[in-house]
Amino acid sequence: MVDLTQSRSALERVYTPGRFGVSSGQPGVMISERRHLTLIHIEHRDDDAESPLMIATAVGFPLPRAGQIAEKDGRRVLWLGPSRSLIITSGSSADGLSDAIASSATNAAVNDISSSRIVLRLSGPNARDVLASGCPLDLHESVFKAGMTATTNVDHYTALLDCIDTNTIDVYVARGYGVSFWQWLIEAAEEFGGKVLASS
Amino acid sequence: MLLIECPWCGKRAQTEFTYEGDATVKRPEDGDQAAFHAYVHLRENVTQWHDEMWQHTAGCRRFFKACRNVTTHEIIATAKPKGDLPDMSSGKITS
Repeated sequence: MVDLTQSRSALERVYTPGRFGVSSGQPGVMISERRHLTLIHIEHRDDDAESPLMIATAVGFPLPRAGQIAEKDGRRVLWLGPSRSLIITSGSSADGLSDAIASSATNAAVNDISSSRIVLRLSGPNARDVLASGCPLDLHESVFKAGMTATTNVDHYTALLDCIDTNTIDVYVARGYGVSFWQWLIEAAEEFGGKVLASS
Repeated sequence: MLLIECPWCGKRAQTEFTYEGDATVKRPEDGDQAAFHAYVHLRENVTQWHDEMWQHTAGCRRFFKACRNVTTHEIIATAKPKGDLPDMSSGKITS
């Protein structure tokens, strides 16, 4: 019998590991899909001073400042906007976290949105160039640094960018746009030579 | 491409934003039909500085106010919804 509770990637039909585009030399950008992540969206009122403290207690560390990321023990918290955060975690770090936050910060809206995004990790010397070809944000490594996050447009799709390090950026796009975004991404990466890695 | 300063996210490209209307209109008390008609339908057709509501739709999704010159598209200031914009009624900054 089919297991309908098993999560399936929105990119399943198009995701093919291997080289593409310019084939000479090292690939300029590597793409890998990050699957099985737990994404928890948290929002509270601006005048609610208590909820951020309760959330911080449940998560284990204070929420990040504007445009920043906070991380500890496999839990990564991204600033989305004033009074809004997104927690990225997986495995044992994710166990019961959503319920723990919800029962602790009772005035905050806590939602598990794990299945609502595709998450792609772009790495390599041209990872920023690929994104920059469709993104109005200044993605130069001296401006968009490790530990910074931004919600912006990439090829007209609203995308959340998470800067891991100089050559690595995670991109979050709404699941329904996943395949369309993928097609844009592959085309944009062709000129640099790309490689799709196995999903993680 | 215009750069617009979101009070929370900083300078971002115009394509991330949506114009949300006149920021100078105030909702009247209930029951005053004439005042409601003006609130819903009547707008000044200004040619210079205009206080406007904008939303950072592709970013933090917050509403904010912007003082924009509708002729030159220059945005001289932005502010949070409850914040103040400079008084440009005489065409010059007075605050």
